[in-house]
Amino acid sequence: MRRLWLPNYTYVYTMTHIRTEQSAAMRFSALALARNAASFHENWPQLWRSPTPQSRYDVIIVGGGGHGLATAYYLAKEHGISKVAVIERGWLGGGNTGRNTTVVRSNYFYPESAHFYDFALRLYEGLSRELGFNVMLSQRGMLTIGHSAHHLELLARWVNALQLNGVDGELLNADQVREWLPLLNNSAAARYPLRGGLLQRRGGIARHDAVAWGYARAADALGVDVIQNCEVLGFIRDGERIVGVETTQGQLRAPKIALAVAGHSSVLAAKAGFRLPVTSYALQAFVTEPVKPVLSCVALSMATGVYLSQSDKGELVVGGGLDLYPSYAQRGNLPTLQGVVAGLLELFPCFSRLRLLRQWAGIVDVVHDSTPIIDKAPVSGIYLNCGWGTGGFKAIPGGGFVFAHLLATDRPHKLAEGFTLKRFASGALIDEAAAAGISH
Amino acid sequence: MLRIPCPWCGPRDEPEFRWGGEVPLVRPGPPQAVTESAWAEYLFMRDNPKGLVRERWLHTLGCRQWFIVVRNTATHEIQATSALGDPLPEIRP
Amino acid sequence: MSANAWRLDSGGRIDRTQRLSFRFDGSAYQGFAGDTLASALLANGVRIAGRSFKLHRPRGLFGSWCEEPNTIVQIGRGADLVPNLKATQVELFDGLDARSVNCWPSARLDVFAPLQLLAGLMPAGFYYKTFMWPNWHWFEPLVRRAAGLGVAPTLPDPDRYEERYEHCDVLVIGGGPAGLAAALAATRAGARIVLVDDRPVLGGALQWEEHIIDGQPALHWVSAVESELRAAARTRVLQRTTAFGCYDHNLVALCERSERTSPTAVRERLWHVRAAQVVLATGAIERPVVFPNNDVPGVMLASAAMNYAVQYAVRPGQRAVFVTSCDSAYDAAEALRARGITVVAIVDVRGEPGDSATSAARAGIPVMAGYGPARVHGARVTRGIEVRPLEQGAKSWRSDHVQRLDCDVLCVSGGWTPSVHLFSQVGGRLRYAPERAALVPAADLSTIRCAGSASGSFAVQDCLSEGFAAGREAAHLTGAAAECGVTPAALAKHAGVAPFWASPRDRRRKAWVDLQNDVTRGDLELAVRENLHSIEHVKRYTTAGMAVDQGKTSNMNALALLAELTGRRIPDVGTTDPRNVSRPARWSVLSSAAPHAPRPLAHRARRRVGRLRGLEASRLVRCARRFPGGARQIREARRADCGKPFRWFAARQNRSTRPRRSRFSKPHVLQQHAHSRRGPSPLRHHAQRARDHY
Repeated sequence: MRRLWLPNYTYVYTMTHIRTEQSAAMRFSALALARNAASFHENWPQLWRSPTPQSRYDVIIVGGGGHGLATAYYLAKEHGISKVAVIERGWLGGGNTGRNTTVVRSNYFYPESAHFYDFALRLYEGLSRELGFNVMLSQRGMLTIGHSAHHLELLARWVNALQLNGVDGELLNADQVREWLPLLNNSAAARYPLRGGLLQRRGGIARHDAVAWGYARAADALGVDVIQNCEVLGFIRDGERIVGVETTQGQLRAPKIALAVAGHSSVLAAKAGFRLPVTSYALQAFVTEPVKPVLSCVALSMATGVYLSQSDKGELVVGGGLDLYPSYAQRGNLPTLQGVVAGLLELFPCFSRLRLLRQWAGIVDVVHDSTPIIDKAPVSGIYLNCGWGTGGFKAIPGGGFVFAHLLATDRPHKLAEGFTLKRFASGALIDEAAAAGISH
Repeated sequence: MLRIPCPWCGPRDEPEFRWGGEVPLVRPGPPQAVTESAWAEYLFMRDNPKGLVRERWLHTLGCRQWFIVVRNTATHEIQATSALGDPLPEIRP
Repeated sequence: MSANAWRLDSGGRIDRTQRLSFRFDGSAYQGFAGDTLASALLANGVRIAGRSFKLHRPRGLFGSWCEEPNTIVQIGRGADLVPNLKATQVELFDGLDARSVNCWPSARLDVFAPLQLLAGLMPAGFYYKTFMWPNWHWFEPLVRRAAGLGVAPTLPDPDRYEERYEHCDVLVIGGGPAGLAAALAATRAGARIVLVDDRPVLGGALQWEEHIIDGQPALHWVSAVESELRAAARTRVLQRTTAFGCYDHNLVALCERSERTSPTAVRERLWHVRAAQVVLATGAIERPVVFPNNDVPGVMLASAAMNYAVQYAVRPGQRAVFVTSCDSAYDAAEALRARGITVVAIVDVRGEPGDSATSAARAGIPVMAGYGPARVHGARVTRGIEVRPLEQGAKSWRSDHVQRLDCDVLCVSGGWTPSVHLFSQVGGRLRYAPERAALVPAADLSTIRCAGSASGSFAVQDCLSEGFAAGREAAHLTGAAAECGVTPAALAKHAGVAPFWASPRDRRRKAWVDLQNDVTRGDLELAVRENLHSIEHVKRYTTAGMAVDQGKTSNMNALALLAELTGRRIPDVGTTDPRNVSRPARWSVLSSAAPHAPRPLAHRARRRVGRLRGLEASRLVRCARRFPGGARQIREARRADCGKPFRWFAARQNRSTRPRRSRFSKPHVLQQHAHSRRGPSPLRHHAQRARDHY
């Protein structure tokens, strides 16, 4: 059963279902595949151009991950600003967009975040058709498992909050959870006995690379310059104002410079001369070898913080806690791996013979209240999109949308009014530590 | 897995320790004279550098002493450690 | 076909007195002690032993160890099921029950085989371009069912696992010539060392390559070194042990597999080894060549063919053709010829192959220098190969003259790729060495050095001297400075190689780059055409190198082809970001002693269970597992749970599936009753519950 709530933001949802105007050659479909098969697939156009950087843009977006590309896309599409450059140090989607566990959901607690993440999820729901690129959104359900009376109490409170905020969510009892997760440890001796759960049916997973590529392709079609292998070396100042960036591909100037660089936000902020309430940690993810379908939804255990899903390819994708010290090294660590695996096997003892195939880490930008910052920076000319912590992927369409709004109008979008930098001084924090799902 | 040389116990594995934040971090005062932004600066704003940083660690499962570590956040190399109370170790680039 | 028809009459390091029965895809076969599942299948003439991931193409054995991309099997049933093993790494045991994965009913007759006909509609990344209308949700269940390899077990794992910690001066990873030499030097220097090798027997390639070391056959040298190492007090030799991860500050994670001695033995053991110095002697993996139809069963690596023939006394075929760009294949050809296999020709893409070719020709093996493979004939089994003369530089054909060579096994060798995964994981940089056609470590790290084939020195004499030097230096750095003796020396062999990644392009025929994931040269071309030029994008778009073999045979070819397609040099393309782990490792071994695992109280209780088999003990087990904090925590929890029932929660539930109220009000009491009804043994009870449920 879907319970959809129509908040005051209805207009934005409808707006985004307008298809991007694309030439027939660009449009992807089964028919296009068949047509191209006849010509041995030799006539596919480029997904995006490799433009030479121009010296002036209206907006320069630093960071070619999901948020940066989505921002560029919505700037061009919603606000008609297409003289935009997205500059990326390495390759598109190579940061956290390519390193996460691909979970999308909107079961947040406070109104600000619940509305915002639900908006992002709604955009996801129409994203494949909108971008003409299958991002494989699979709304298979996100199930948070409670293991004790205390967990059930928390879940009940959480569901109430969700329903008040118009987000779908249902409480499940132990039997219902068992129906969803028949392989869950059901024995009386389970260290974490099964008591109940919270299900968000609209939650699920999406193909992470496809999200970045889909936005890049659509933004490129709207005239945005997507420039890879272009590292920011410093900022160009005009008095107090920042007016451009010095890059490995030369100087680029723009009145507005947007930073969407997740874990590296502090590094760029230091170059621009300010500090952020951000600490960068390594968040690890693990995949097993692919197996036939064994898991129908995304499952998260409240006791261990371990969560897992099965990708369409068949790999189990598992995540857990952060490495508990700041790091910019994008590699895995053994103690966290062991802790996560132990937690996982307490939940699903039968997975113990599956084998770890890859382990990696993304650098996440954690702020104290686990709520993003979408705001102007203390230095004029710079705009910030950071603080996503462990939850940036699920927010990509929403983050891009509201950030584009801020860049275009210089006013925060209604959905992101609370996500300011000032909240750290005023104390109006939105503490989503619990609903963010991962122990920070 | 890091191997952290505790100034009191010698080199031990990472799970024995807890990270305790960047140093130096000076509490502003007196309280009635501190502005909101100065508090925010003290409570939340961090350098969070990519590279060498001085930070406090606690040997939780050992001597339970706080001490200072100079660590590279990009490579995880540990350059120096020193006991609390000793002068802060210099960062050698 | 009679049992072991493909077995040679003599030779091999198998125990012909010990016959082992096993099943594959439901048929019964026999092998010998010392066989792997792969060698036993080959000996029984099983040519189609697997199916590819996407197109369900028939596939045969391709490699002989961890590089095997094709023959993925699952063994055992029920709680003993282990999915996704490489047949080449499964040691044969009596009663082994293996099945191929991702096909039905068997690899030989797969009902999904017609998917190949749709190959044209399924280029790289086709799923990004379709399945959008009306909604991905309509297609996803089908796609999910088609994907995945083996079947995951649904019963809890009955095996035991352990965890151990070890500190040493020098950790030597790899028990081939370089590793043995390094371990020997470090041991003699007086260091405390651990030698790790992932095969059941030490020696690495010396088990099947024929060399003379210190004036004696290589295997004699191996056993002499092994006895010296085992006799040394401060040296530990771990066999069947894989170093799968290299972490910060020289922590290396090892996974040791036990022999199948008894069902209750520890199945796998995780070692955390903190070493002052690490010597990586991980060897190299032979690289295939990309040319049309190169995935037909019967196409295999030259080193694998040699391995099967020499170590397991199995004929990989009756008539062999070699396609090579390096000297090592000549040794393989000679080894096969000496065992009665007809070597039709050695097709060397190099115009002037050098001394190896001269001696091969002298031995009566025809050498076709300057020819390249144009296509393989055969669908379910190799029937022959077409070769064509190549231009100088091997970038295009010199003439239209096509010559067909009939054969049933085609041994390919495009050079060797050093196994530097562990080195890259800790941040070691690689450089491209064109004279070796390989990415080799640019410079050793301060505590981690590479030796032998892993550093790009493929000749056995270099492996020995480099390994010995690396072992000595590493030991010296840790303060062990005793005299190491003389460096072992081998009769020199040629190890010349020319870079050759792929035959000239043939747009109508598919040439496979990644066998398991069905990534073809055309897929790479498509990715480049769509402006995906970064190696990471190409990897993710085409899935090249993302299969369970982790691209051990495909990564380098994909990289070189990408460089060619984008007009860049190989060093400019760079490599993909190295990600742990270098070999797949079981979850269970990773969690054996981790923070969430049951604590000693539970272990103690379980020991008591063996004696008491009573209710009291079982309650203790249950409580202990749930409350690692001990009795006080249990009492508190009982007070919290039973003293204040959460009726309000029960009332909130959906009415139709409302749980029994008592379950929420007095869980412990209820479960206790349920338990006593079912019988006294908690373990049996546990298993029963599991069976009932699943």
